[in-house]
Parts: sequence; C-alpha cells; structure tokens
Amino acid sequence: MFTATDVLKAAFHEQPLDQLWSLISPLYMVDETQWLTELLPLATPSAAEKAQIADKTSQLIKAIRADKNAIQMIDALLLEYSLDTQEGILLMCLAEALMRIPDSATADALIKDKLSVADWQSHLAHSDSVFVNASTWGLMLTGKVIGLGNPAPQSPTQALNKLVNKLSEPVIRQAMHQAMKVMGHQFVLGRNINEAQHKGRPMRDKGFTYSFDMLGEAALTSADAKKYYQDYLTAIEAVGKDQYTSKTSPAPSVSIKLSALHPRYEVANKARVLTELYETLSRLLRRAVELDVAITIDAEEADRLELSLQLFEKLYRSDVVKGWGKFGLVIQAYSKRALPVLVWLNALAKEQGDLIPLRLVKGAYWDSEIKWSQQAGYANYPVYTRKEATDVAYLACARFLLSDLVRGNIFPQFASHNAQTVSAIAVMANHKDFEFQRLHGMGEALYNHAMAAYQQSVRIYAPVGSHKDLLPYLVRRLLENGANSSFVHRLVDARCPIDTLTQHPVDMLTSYDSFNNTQIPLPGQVFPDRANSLGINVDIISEAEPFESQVHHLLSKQWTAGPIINGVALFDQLFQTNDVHIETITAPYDRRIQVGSVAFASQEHVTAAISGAEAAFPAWQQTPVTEKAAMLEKLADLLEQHLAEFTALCHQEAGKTIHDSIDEVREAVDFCRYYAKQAQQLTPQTLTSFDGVTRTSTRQGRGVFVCISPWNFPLAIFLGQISAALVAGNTVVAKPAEQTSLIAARAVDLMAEAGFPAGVIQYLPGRGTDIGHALTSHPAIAGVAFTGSTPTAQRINISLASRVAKPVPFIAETGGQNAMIVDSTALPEQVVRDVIRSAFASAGQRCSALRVLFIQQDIAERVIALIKGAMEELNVGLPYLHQTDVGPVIDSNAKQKLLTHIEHMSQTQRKVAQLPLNNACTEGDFVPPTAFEIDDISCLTQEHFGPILHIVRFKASELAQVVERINQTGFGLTMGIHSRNETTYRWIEQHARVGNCYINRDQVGAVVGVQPFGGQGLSGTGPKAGGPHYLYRFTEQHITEQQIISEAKASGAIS
Amino acid sequence: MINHVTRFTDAQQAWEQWNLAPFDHKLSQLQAFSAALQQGNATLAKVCQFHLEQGKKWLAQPHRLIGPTGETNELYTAGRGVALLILDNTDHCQQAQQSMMAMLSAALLAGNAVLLCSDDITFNNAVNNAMQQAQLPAHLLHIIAFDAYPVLLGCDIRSAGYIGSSQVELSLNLQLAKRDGVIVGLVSETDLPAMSLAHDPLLALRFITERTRTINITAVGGNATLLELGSAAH
Repeated sequence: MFTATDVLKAAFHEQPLDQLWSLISPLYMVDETQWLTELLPLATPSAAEKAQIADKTSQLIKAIRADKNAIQMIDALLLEYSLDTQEGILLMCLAEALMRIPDSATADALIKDKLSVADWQSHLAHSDSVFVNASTWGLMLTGKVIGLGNPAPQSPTQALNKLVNKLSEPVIRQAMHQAMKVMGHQFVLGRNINEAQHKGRPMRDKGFTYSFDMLGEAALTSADAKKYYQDYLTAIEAVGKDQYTSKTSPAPSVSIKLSALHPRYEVANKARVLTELYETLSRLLRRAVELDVAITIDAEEADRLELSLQLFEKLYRSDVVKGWGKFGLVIQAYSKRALPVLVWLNALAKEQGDLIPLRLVKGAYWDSEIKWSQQAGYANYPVYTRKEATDVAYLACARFLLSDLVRGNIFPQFASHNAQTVSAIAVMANHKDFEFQRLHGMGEALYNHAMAAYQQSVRIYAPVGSHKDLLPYLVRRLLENGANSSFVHRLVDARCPIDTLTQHPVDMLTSYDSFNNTQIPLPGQVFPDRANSLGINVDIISEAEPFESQVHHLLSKQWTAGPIINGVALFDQLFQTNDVHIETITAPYDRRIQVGSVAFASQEHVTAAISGAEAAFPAWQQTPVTEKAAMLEKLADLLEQHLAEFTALCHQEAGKTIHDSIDEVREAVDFCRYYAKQAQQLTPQTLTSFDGVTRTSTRQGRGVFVCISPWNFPLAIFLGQISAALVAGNTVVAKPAEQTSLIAARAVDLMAEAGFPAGVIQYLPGRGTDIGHALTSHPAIAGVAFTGSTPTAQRINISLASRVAKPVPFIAETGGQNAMIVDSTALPEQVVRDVIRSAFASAGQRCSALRVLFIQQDIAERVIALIKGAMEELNVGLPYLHQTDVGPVIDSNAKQKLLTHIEHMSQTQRKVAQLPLNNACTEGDFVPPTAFEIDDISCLTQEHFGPILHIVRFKASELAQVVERINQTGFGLTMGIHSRNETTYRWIEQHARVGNCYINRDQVGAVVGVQPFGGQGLSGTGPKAGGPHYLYRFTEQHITEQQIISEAKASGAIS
Repeated sequence: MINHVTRFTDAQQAWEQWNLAPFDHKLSQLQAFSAALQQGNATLAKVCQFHLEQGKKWLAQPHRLIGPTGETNELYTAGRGVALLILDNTDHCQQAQQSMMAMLSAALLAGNAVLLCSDDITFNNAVNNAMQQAQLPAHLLHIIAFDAYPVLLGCDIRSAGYIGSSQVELSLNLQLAKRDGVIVGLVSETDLPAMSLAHDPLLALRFITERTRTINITAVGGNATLLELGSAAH
C-alpha cells in the first residue's frame, strides 16, 4: 500500500509506468479502514471549501425544489414505488420480464402473479404526479379486473391448469405493455441512434451533449457480439455524420461496453481479449477516429478491471489511436483500486502525450460485487461497504483528477446525481477543463440548475435501443437509485431536510464507529457460527501470481499412496517387498504424464484395518466432542494452507480445472468446520416420554464406519463422509475411488498432522471389485456412507443385509437425471449462462449436473440458438490452464461409455451442437461437450455422467405433465427452474420430487450448511450431507432413565 | 393378492395430497387421531401425542439457512412415500403396540401414507376406530393382514418399519435390500422391553426426505436490502 496523499506530489509520478502499475492490484481487497484512512486527507475539504460546498449545495437543492418541473416522471415513480416497498419490487419484476414474453398465456399469468399480492391502493394520491397516479389506478384496476383473491381449495394440478389455460385478458395485457413502454421511454432516448439524435436535439439546444450507449447486455455468442459491433458502428457513423452544430453543445460521444463485443471478455481468456477483442475495437476506433467521434470504454465488474486496462493500454498505444486524444474510459470510485488506476492512466497519458477523457462514476455493480466475494470466500471486498466511503473515495479521486499534475493528461468527466458531489467538484476545481455527466431520465433538474450555477459542460449518458433490451439496464439503474436512501430519492422528497443532503461525506463517514459497515460481514464471516472457507481470485494479478507459481512448481511432483493402517503408511514397505501390484497413476488430460504410484490394499489389509478401527473405537468414543471438533478445525486450517498442493493434485489426478480444484478444497474445509460445529450440538437431551419416565438421551458413535467415496469430489466427499463419521464418535475405514487415491492419501496425511489418533482413520486404496465386498460384508461394520452409482449402492445394501447382524445405517448418495425447467418469462441470457455451467462445468461430472433441459416452446428457438453459440465459445483442454472451461473425464472407461451414448443419440435424436476437440486433447480422456434435442426424458434410460446435455421443448399448457414425467424417472437429486412467475416456480418446486431445487440460478455448486445436498428416490437415502440432520445417522441413541413417575405406574397405564 | 397391490396404489395417491398438505394441517388431523385414540386406549394416545410433539420440533418449520447475500435458502422435510409398517406377534404385546404406534405417528406426521400389516386385532381396532373418528383422508392409512407384507414388499414402498423378532428383522432387511429400485432402510425394534425406538424423540427423522429450495433474489430486486445496508441510514 502506498501513501495516498503522495499522488499530489510531483516526485511520486516520476516512477516508471510499470512501477505505478504494480500499485494497482495489491489494493484489490485491501483492508477498508486502512485504505480509507489514507484517502480521507485527499477528500477532506479545507474550512473554506467546506463552507462553500455546503452553501452551494443548499442553494442548488433549494432551486431544484422551487422548480415546479423539477421532478421528472421517473423520479416521481421512484419516489412512490421505492424498492423498499413490496409494490416497488413487484413493479420492477413486472417491468423486467413482461415485454420479452412471447406468449400471452404466460404473460397474463405473470401479470396476475405480480398484481395479486400488493397493496396498490395505498399508493394512490400519495404522489402529485399524474403519471404515478395513472399508473396506480391502472395497476389497482388491473388487480380488480383479474378478480384475484384466495381461490377455493383445489388440487394443485387443477390450479396449475387454471393458471396456465385461463383465457387471456388481452386488454389488461396490452395496458400493462403500454405502461411498461411508458417506463421505457423515460430511460431510453431512442429506439435507434437516429431517433435518439432527433430526440436529443432540444437538450443540445440548451447546451447539453450526449454519450450514446447502445443497449444490450454481455454477448454470449459470436453472433451477438457481431450484432453489437454493428450497432456500435452504426452509432459511430450516425454521430460522426450528424450535421447538427452548436456553439454551446460539445460533440457527442459513444460509450462502448466491452462485454457486448466479445463473448469471452474475461481474464481467463486474456489472450483472446488482447487479440480478437483488440481487433474488433481497433476497427471501431479506426472509424471513430476518421469521423472524430470520441469513444469511452464502459466499466464493468471488478474482476475485469486489470484486463480492461491492459486492453486499453494496447489500443491507446496503437497507431489507430495514437495522437487522437479522444479515446477514454470509465473508472468506478467504489473500487479500492480506483486511485492507483488514475495515477497509472495519468502517467500513461503523460508518456504518450494524448489526452484521456475519463468518466469517474461511483459504480453500478455494488450488490453483485458483495455477493460474489461472499460466495468465493475472498479475504475482503473489492468495493467499499458504506455509501459514504464511496463518496469519500470519489472526492479523493476527484481531488487528484483536478490537480495540476493531471491537467492536460486526463480530461475528467464527473458523473453523479448528487448535488453535494457536484458542488464539491465545482468548489475543488481551480480550472475549467472538465465536464459533468448524468444519466438520461435522471437528475435533469439538478443539472439544469448546476449548469447555470457552475457554467460547466454537461454530457448526458443516453441508452439507445429497443425497450426489450432496456430491461436489464433498467433494473440496474433502479437498484442503484430506487432505494429510498439514495440521493435521487431524497432530493425530490420534500420531507427530507436540506441540511441532511448537504452533509459532507467525510463528516458522515468519520461519524461512524468504524469505516467498514459492520452490518455487512467480511466474506470470511458470512456464516454465523463458523468461518467461510478461503478462496483465491485467480482473475486478479496480485492474488493469482503467487498461487499459480506454487501450483506450477507442484505439477511435476510424484505422489505415492498405499494403505495406512493404525497410522502406518505401508506404501514403501509394499513397494520394496513387491507384495502387491503397484499402480501407476497418470493424468486424465495426458496419459503420458505419470503423476504417482499407488499400492492397492489386499483382503488382509481390510481385516487389519477393521480390527484396528475396532480397537481404536472405545477410546475415540470417550474422547470429548470438543477435542474431536478441534481436530477437524485444525484439519480445515491445514487444508487451506495446502490449497496449492491440492489444486495441483486435483489437476493431475482428477483432471479438475483451476476453479473446480479451488472449490474442491473449499468444500472440504467447509465440511470440516460445519460438522465440527454440528457435533457440539449433539448434547444429551432430557425429556419425559409418553410413559411418564424422564430419560436422558445421548447420541454416541456406533462403531466402525466404512466410508466409500467417489472420484468426482475426491477430497470434499472423501473428507465430508469421514469427518462426519469421526466427529459423531465412530472410527472409520475409508476407501476412496481407485481413480483418486493420491488425493485421499494426502488428506489422511494431514489428518494425522491435525491430531487424529492413528487407529481412528484407516485408509484403504483399492478397487471396489477387489475389496469392496470384504469391507461391506464384515460383521463388525456399524454403518456405511457411500457416494457413487445407484447399482453399486444396491450391491452394498445387499452385502450389508446379508450379514448375520442387526441392520445398520446405510447412507447412500447416488445418481440423478437432473432437469431444468424454463418458462417464457425467464431471461434467455441468464438461462443460457446457467445451463452452460450446470451441464458442462466439471465436464458434467457432478452429481448435480444438468442432464435434461425443458424449454417452453415459445422461446426455445432463441434459447437453443444461444446455447449452441455459447457452447462454441467453450474451451476444452488442459485443466491447469486458466482458459480451460471443460477438462477431461476421469478415465477411458467413462470416456467410452459417454462416446457410445453420443453415438446412439446422434443416430436417434437431433444433435444441436458438438464441440470439436483440439490437439491438446489427443493424449487424454476427453469427451466433446455435446447437446441434443430429444423427444422426451423417457428417451434416457440411465444417467450419462459427462458433458452431454439433452433438450426437450414443451408447451406452456403441459407444465404439470413435464413435472410428472421428471418425477417418473424415479431419480430426485437436483432441479433448476427459471421463471419470473413466483406462482409457477413455487408450484414446480413443490411438486417436483427432488432433493435440491434451485430457482433462477444454476443448479450446481451446493454450499455446505447453506444448500445441504442429497436426493430422494433412486438418488439416495438421505440424510443430506452438509445439513443439520446428517450427523444423527452416524450415531445411536443411548438412554439413561432418571426418574420413574410412580403415579404413572400406579395408574396401570404403563406396563 | 391383487387387492393388496390396489391398496398400495390407493395409498400412493393419498400420499401425494397428504404430502403436499401444510404441516399444520397434518398435525391437526393427527391430533384428532390421537384424541380419538384416547377414548379406546389412553396409552397409545400418549405415544401418538409424544411423537407428534417431538416431530413438530423437527418438521414444522423450514430451516432458514444463512449464506451469501442475494439468495434465500431453506431446508424442509417431506414424506418419502408409502411406508410399510409391520407388526409381528410377540410376547410383549403392549410394548409392541406402543412401538408400532410410535412408528405410525412418526411416519404419518412426516408426510407418508401407511400400509400397516398387523394381526393384532386390539391394536387394529384402536387404530381403525380412531382413523374413522378423526376422518383421516381416505386411503392414507390401510390396515392389512400381517401375512400380506411379502407381497407389499414388491410394491414401490419408500419406508419400512418392523416390530417383532430379530430373525424376521434379518430376513426382512435382506428382502428389502434385494428389491430393485429405491433403497429402503428398515426401521425396526426387536428389544421390546427396552423400547428405545419408541422413546426416540428423533424417530420422525427416519421417515422423512429432506429438500432444499434456493431462490436467487438478485434478479428481482432482492438486493435492494443490501443497498440499504450500505447506505447512510445505517
């Protein structure tokens, strides 16, 4: 970390560009308090500045409030329908989805769904706006016309049929469409660039100018990227050829969103970004330079910042742009890296001599950044957790941008709708070389008055595009400004005192007890009773480089594994005595690469291991649960310390990609910590039973548990089973899948280091056919935890039941035929992202992976085309490369089975897409990701555990039958649902017999303790792993009678 | 024989509705069942009531699971399907009846339909009368002759319970294991003087299946709450 105030010293800027670059990444998730302490002196105004800012802000607000035309219709709507109200959220849900629904039945159902639950009447007459009241009357009337209310009880099938088949109400639908269009008009300047230019004229006459933004979200396919390219080119042409001239309105510019121009604009595909996307942008820039249309690169997610800067530098230095001075970009002040980025850009501009126009915004992805960091278990957040902190950072950045060290290098463009920020900038500036920017549809009154007061140029960021494309944009804007605490909201709310709006953010931030928001726990602390597992962000240079370097060094290591009985590792002994066959382990992605050697266990080892575990049981059972839990906690810490090693092992032995490997270790860590906590809740319970006797019930270990784990989660499930069994008081004989014995052996090494006594964990690598029966037929076995195929589970069950012994717990997690149901209210782009991840991540080798996608026929063409296009962008290859999306399957046996299925499907069904395999795949066990359109799920008689997706179209009216057909497969593991209609998705969720149901997201990646995992029917016995009921199944009840109530006895009621 | 299979089909259909019914509805129906038992056999009523109370602690409310922001996660339970409960003849008739009542109550409360194979006329009558009085849904609970169970084992039952001898328990367990299809564990009690199963407050957990429901709420404005947390208001 550097001293922030140094940015105002000339000497600081004399550092080489590379050195300034190196200051950026380490601040990615720097401690918030530390960094804000650095920034505060930059943001803190002098006494004179402070008084001046407060005065000017106050004047501005008074002028706005006195202006009868100040509140724009959309501001009024936001004021009335704040996102803090149920109606506000419902209105936005409706706005987000309605216009893209092609079929009227589904549209009507959605309208009913959203209008049935809210109290629209309460909003009537709250607002003076005719627009708002008209909307409210419309919504209320609609609610009444539809005749909602609590329907009489009926069977769910009847209810759904009624829901789906009810006669459409075209009048209502059209009225709602019209209402949505009215909303759209407020946010979109024009449906195309010509219309936008035309509609922008009146504002230009007033001296404003525009930056046109072509609406559209991230491209998922090359075809989409080409379409967006054409849109941008058209915009550049139109702006360049516009004949409008004005002395007061500067030339308009065009804003470009990079994710719209390349389907894989992400760090993992850096090489493609710096070549393909570079070429695309070069073409656009060439034309822009020819027509002299300034271009601004929009800011997106925090993980893309470093990549976007590298691309920007390459373009900026290119012959196309050099000497121009109108190629600019957007920087988000909520990013902790914003200030060093500005410093670096300033040095870049100074070095080349071309001005960089730079829009400073506060940032629009705040909620997502918070969520992603929590999910990924990062050490901290890339953004600030208080709005005031972002405001402080914004002013600190502005102070630097307005300094003489920057003047002439960067042309600052300050985008804000906050009167205090605008006034602060006007006061801080000692020159006029900057402009303000605002969004179309917002802050009009503020800038009408600010322009008059400060005589600075104002540019309006104006979305251009169809109303359908508006929706995701609209949602983001509303989220950003719709909460009633936002400045936009409070500015127009006359009830909000002016002095609360003129407070300086430095004062507001420093008035808190802590700079970070204590209501938003750090990502590592999101769980109330345990630490979140730590993740690494490999998209960030400062995080990725040390981690990747460690992994790289381990890739050439050779590992060994053999039975570990009573704490004695037998590999060396077996290797030397040649007692057993030593298996050579090779990498699934290249069978020429040797990874290590494994000595498989014999029947004698099985006997010895079980005896050892039996002998260790009494002492282990007596060990206090707190001690057992502490060992698990220690193991979790050790796993985190060995993250790089396990990542390397996962690449080499299991063919797992980088993200999958990190997730693997994180899940194992979560299991350890979760069960450690759960075990401590298995405290004795005293209660009086039905016979009047008070008893104390304790849960104790049952004896020796056999844990048989699969290769697809070689660390997480291996340790998940073992840690549960151990902490519940059992000793364990563990047999991992033979394909991943090395990973399991390394985990057992760490268990010893964590303090588990020698005999409590016995490790037996081997084939199921060789030692499986011996393990599960042994009379001493007190229970079995198994994850694997349904037929193997059935065999184990018979083996256990064939013993002359009392029935013991058999916890089996088995296969699935997992489906996703998508109706026409769903957002196709979101669906496709989730389908691709659910079906092809981990090469489809997850129990939870999507196998059969059901799409409502009204949107099927578009969604299938997107899936095809998105599949073509997937990279199949070497798992240790960042760019790889899909690695190999586990072995040649799996590969052959999958290829046979693909062959069969190719002959009997319609192939949608199949990726070619490149040269990197020739020596490994790779299966090309493939998608088929099939007639029905019944075409599939078994699960195909690999990267193969099956797609079925259905009619809206057949939804109930679809759910029934999925239920009829007998499997019940995971299901995905994509629908904006809550009534629909709740109905499906209730009627689908599955263990884990995911709504409006992907259906893989269950998190321990958050989404306990396990299915029903043919998919498993339960209880769910990582859930609150799991440990009980590893225990047995011991009862101690405490007190016999004589009255009960005397009454004779109890014998 | 075909009659028994028909009963299974009826029970399966009844299960679909019973399983979908809200927990409170099931509880109130079973409390009526328990109240009706009280008239004929107070001890059995107490057993039933005990398991309704214990089961309620575990099954009544979905668990809200705390995780990263932007999603709601809930864990709740459902019935597994049709449970086959078998009451064998034993020397400990009352304990056997109480143990079977424990299983029956737990299985029904958990959301299952039940096929009860029993030749214990006293027990059968008590259950039958209570079922009639409480107006349990049609076909939810069938009382069938003990010797029908081998045939019913061939149906798609999803839970199995047995009260009786160790020998039959072993054989039943093996028969269950040898069936094709869904793996069904046996819940059994053979140590009738101890009756540990009947006193187990967690008995209902043996008859459930667990489900999680995860809803992404970021797509529909749910993160407005998060924006609030980041705001000046706090």
